[in-house]
Parts: sequence; structure tokens; C-alpha cells
Amino acid sequence: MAEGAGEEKKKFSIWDLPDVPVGQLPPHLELQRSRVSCNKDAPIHTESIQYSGAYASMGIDNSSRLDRFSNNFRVEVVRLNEDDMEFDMIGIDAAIANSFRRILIAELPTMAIEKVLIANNTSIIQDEVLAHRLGLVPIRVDPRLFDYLSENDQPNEKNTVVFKLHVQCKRGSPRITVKSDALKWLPNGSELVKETRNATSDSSSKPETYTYFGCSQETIPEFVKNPIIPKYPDIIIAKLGPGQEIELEAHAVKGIGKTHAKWSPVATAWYRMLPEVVLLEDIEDDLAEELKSKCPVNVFDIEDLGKGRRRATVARPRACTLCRECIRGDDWEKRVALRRVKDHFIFTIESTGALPPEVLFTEAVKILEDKCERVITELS
Amino acid sequence: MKRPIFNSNKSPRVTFCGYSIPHPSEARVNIRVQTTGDPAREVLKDACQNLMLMCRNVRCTFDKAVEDFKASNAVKAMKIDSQDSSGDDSEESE
Repeated sequence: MAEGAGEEKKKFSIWDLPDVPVGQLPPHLELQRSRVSCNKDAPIHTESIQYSGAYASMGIDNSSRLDRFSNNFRVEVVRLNEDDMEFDMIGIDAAIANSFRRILIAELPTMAIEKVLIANNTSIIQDEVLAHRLGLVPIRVDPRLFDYLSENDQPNEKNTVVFKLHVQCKRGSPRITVKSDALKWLPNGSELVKETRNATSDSSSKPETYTYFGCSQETIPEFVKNPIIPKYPDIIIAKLGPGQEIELEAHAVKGIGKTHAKWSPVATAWYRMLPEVVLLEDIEDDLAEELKSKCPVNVFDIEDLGKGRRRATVARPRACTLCRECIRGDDWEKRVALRRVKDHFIFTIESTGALPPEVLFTEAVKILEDKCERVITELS
Repeated sequence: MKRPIFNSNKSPRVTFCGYSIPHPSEARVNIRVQTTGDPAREVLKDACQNLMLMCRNVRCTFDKAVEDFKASNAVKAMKIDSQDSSGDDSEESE
């Protein structure tokens, strides 16, 4: 009898049922794959499913192909000012988004003051502290017009920008504050004369200075209309009392943020994933009022259903900061689900002023391409 | 960077891939790629190529999005100007 029952049992496959959609993941797996669920204690499903054969038994191809990427990838700019921008990148993997963020912070070159030649400093700010502060002042110049200065090179007009600072507080006058607009650009190079040991009396030749400028930087077309100045003229560098003086020359060179943070072109750059707030059940009347008042950023709104009944809706999910106030307390976890969309990134870039933020992002992508090319050439 | 690792992970020819950094003070990365029959060097090169093409795509899309945003902002600024002037006209005519 058991054998008879075994022969009659046919192989049953779930895909034979008429209403199961083929070629798509069932909704609970799709949730796992594409959303981070932020629970009360910790988020789950945070890793992106990398393996290409992950859903092979369902007939879904998880491998990433370029055509699918280019079809799904979108960029939407939300805000674009002179110094900062906010934009959405949709359809990209977290690893690439993070690479862009890291390159923006650490590997985009900028110009910053590196060598400070101090002729006279009688202020109370120590030499090294003054030099450190000067290094952190952002300079409004396009770093792509300059080359790197390595140890064997001589400083010339292609890799150095020279500034001069000469401030004096006379006796009897009140204390003065030295701000960054006191830094004057010297397009012809250094003016401090090097002391040479061999006293060759060549009065006809030019005295040797600390830089070897072949031609004046003013002749370069980009600098004719835009002289090189610090981006913000009101940065306080030092304060002088009566009788104190500062006379120095500062040389700015090209560098990247990895070496020192003064060369980082962004004040900061960060991203967050798009928040998704879902009400799992209908929340009405008093509970709705309670929910609306709980959220500090006003994600929820009340809508009237008529006959005095009100219902809560999610009005501004993008503003959610994941404070988890709405799921605090008993039973709220069953009513509200906080999620993050895994491939939708809200990027914010704040530039320090050398380059506009959209140019910074394009340069960061170019740097990633260059790195890939270098790996490919090394491998061949 | 390490993105080609994840990129090659997605390829159906790869059974295993990973990276490790033996010591943070020296700039060295050990990459391991194990494939289903194809030479691993080629698979890694293809992953890098893929990443390069993806980056170019990202750049194009981004530039276009920035241009569209700037154009639409310019249009909005013009519309606000024309609305103000048309509002004045209607007041004067009445």
C-alpha cells in the first residue's frame, strides 16, 4: 500500500502554480536583498548579496552586467550651490559609492601652503603654530594647472605658489588681528634672497632666491582675471600687540589628503541611504496623533478620513534620521517599519573652495578609472 | 581599490575572490581570485575593465544630471522674473 501511494505521488513544483510570478524573487527575499531593516536594537540584512549564483535555484541571475547597470543607474541633483551640492545616486553598489567618498576626501589633489620662510616673527604665536595655521588656509586656485613638487625638483612657476605676509603693529596703536586677506600673492616668485657662501661679486646677475621662476605666473591666462587668493578673506591667522611684527613668505604646493588633511579639497563628503518608513498597519485617531508628535523631524502627517476619524501617513520619509523614536515603547515595532534602500545613496559634498563640488566628483571618478587602468597595465 | 574584487565576485565565472591587507603600515594588498576554468588573471582584468566602463557611465550620467539641473534652475529663475513683470502689468491695466 505504501508503494502504491509512492508511485502515485507526482513531483510537485511551486512554479507550476498559476499565480506565482516567474523571474522575480518572492517579496520577502526581495526585501532581504534590497532593503536594510533597521530594528530596535540593530540593523539586519546590511550586506549586499554579492555572489552571482545566490538565487540560482529560483532561476534569477544575480550577476551584475554592464547593460543592466547603465539602464538602472540614475543621478538626480537636489541642490547645487557654489560650495556644496546634494545629489542622489540610484542603482549603484555601496562599495563604489564608498570608493567615491574616500577618493573625494583623501586622494584629490589641492594646493596648500607647505613651506613657510619666516624672516621676522615677534608675535606671541610661535613659528610652528603660525606655519601650521597658514597650511590650513584654503587657497582658491585650480590644482589641475600645477604639477607635483618632488624632493629633487626645484620650485618653479609650474609647481609652487608664493605668498607674502608682512604685518606690523606700531607702538601706540591698538592690537590688530591678522586675517587671511593679508596674504599677498607674489606672481614673480620668492623675494627672499638666499645667502650664498661664495661671495662672487656678480652685481649684474639677479640675486638667487628660494624659487626659480622662469616667467611670471601672471602671464598664465587663467590667472589674468582671477588672481590667486585665499578663498575666505576673514580667517584669523594671528593677533598682534603693539610693537610686534610678522614677516614671512609662504610656498604652496600640490598634495593629496592622504599625506595631510590640509590638502583635502572637501570640508567633508558623506552619503546616507534613502530611508523608507512603512506603516505595517493602519494607525488611527489617538495612536496617529501620538505617532506624529513622537517624530522630531515630522516624518508623519495626519490625514482626515471623514466622520472625525484620522489616519497617519508617511509624508517626508527622506527627512528620517533613524532616531528610532517612532518604534520606542511597547508594540510600536509591529506598527512601523524603518528601512533603508540599499542602492539609493544621498550624497552631500561640501567643497572648501578650490574647485566647485560637481567638478570634484567628476575628478574623483576619473581617479578611480586611472587606478583601474594602472592595475590592468600591471597585470598584463 | 577593492571594488574590482566585488565586481569580479558578481561574475558567474568566479567561485571565490577576496582580499586582505597583511599589515596596515605597509601598502600591500593580497588578492585571491578562483575561477571556474578561465585563467584568473583574465577574469581580474575583465573585472577592472568592467569597473572602468561603469565609472565612465557614472561620469556621463552625473554630468548630464548636473547640466539638466542647471538648465532647469535657469528656466525657473526666468519664469519667476516673467511672473513678477506680468503681475505688475495686470495690476496696471486694472
